[in-house]
Amino acid sequence: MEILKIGITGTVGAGKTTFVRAISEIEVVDTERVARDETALIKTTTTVAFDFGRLTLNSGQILHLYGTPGQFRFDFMWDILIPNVHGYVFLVDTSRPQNFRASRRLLNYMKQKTQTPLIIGLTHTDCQGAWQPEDIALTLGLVDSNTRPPIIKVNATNSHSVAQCLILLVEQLLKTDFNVI
Amino acid sequence: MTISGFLESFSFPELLRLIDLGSKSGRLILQVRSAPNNSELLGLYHIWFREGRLVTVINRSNYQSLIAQIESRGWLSQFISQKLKHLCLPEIPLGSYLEEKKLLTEQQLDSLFQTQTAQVYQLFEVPVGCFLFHEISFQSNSDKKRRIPWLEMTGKSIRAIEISLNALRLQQNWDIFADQLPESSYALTKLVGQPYCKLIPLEWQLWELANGQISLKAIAGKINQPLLKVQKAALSLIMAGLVDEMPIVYTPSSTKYTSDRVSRSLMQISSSNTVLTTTKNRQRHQTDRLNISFLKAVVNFLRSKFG
Repeated sequence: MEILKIGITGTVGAGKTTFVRAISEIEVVDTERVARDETALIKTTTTVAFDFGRLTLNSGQILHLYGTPGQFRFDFMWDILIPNVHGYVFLVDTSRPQNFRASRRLLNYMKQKTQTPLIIGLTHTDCQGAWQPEDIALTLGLVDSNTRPPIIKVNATNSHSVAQCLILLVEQLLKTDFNVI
Repeated sequence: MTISGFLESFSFPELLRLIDLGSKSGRLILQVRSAPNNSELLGLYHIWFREGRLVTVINRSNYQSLIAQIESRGWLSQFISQKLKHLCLPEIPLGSYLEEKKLLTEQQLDSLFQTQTAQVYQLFEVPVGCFLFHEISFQSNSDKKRRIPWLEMTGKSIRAIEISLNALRLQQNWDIFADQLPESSYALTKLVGQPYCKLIPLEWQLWELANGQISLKAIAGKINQPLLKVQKAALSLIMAGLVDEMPIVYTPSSTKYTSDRVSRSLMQISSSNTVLTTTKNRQRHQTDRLNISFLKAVVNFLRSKFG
């Protein structure tokens, strides 16, 4: 059995759960709970452990999607999930500058913990006040355009858009020799 | 291209770092809506940048042109000042023009530029406001070029992140930046080979210990300084684009063993949910290797199913 494990991460409200739900062939196994902290200002529920989605290519090949929690107090879940995936999508809500600082911290955290290939997925790009990809890259500390991970706009509610994002990540895996034989 | 937002959610130093690192040129419009400690700061500011460097500041609410400032200092006669107001400069800053004509000295221009930048330093005390940055090229032949206020420029400039470093050194009200202070458990890592400007002793100590291995708490102990003071200095260096905050990776140990066991269990839960897990799979985790053919199959599958 071949399993490609992909992580979906990002700060609160970036669209991780929606992303997994948009493309999973099974009802997403989620751990959504009622948000009781500042997260409640953004949405009513939040992921506390992880979301799990699946896509079956055939009887011997499967794609697993693991959506992480967005809050720093669940960082132990990041430590568990991200080093165990083959690649991950880092989602950023481009319309919420108030989350950019946390995104930068989270991205630094992830990059420090694992060398796993990643791409940046930009969500909410059609919202009023959404920032441009180049500016998001700079706020994330990705100054050098030659060395930064690929960046793609993604509509987390749309399966086609989510698939394009995943394709970009897999193509990134193919370009690197990280865990590829 | 424009960038807009509120200082409450994206602070002034963060904005300056973005402009600097992006080598952006254009006009930053900043509307100060609340300044509890200094109501004189309320109003509208136009701050101009050229390739990431601040070139002039215009306070639209308390407007005093550069020519008026020069005149008020008695450096030019009223006759020449009046002439200058109608001068059509060939796309050079007024200050550079006057220096070239030997009407002002470099020291006088420095003094004028310091007066302009002093207004910007005060803006670090502002907790509430909104901003809009328009990218405007200084080189292009577009109509926008006409908006560039050459008559308000001394010809002097300063890197946007250097302004942050200078301002944060003088900062009195740290409440504004309380939620931006780096975590005490985090370390610092260098972003550049060498500092681009002179550092004060505490900053230099942090710079030398910015190796990604020593937490700020440990640094505070090592250099015998209060943690909060170290965190403030660290934030200054972060906003100055010299370092970044990083979690420390602990390599050894039982923690990793436990973490690995937990992660394998969780991955098995998700896999068993698919009723496809084999014993062999249970034993594999982060060292799983992927076949190129499998990855290509995934790409084809996604294209065909969702294309």
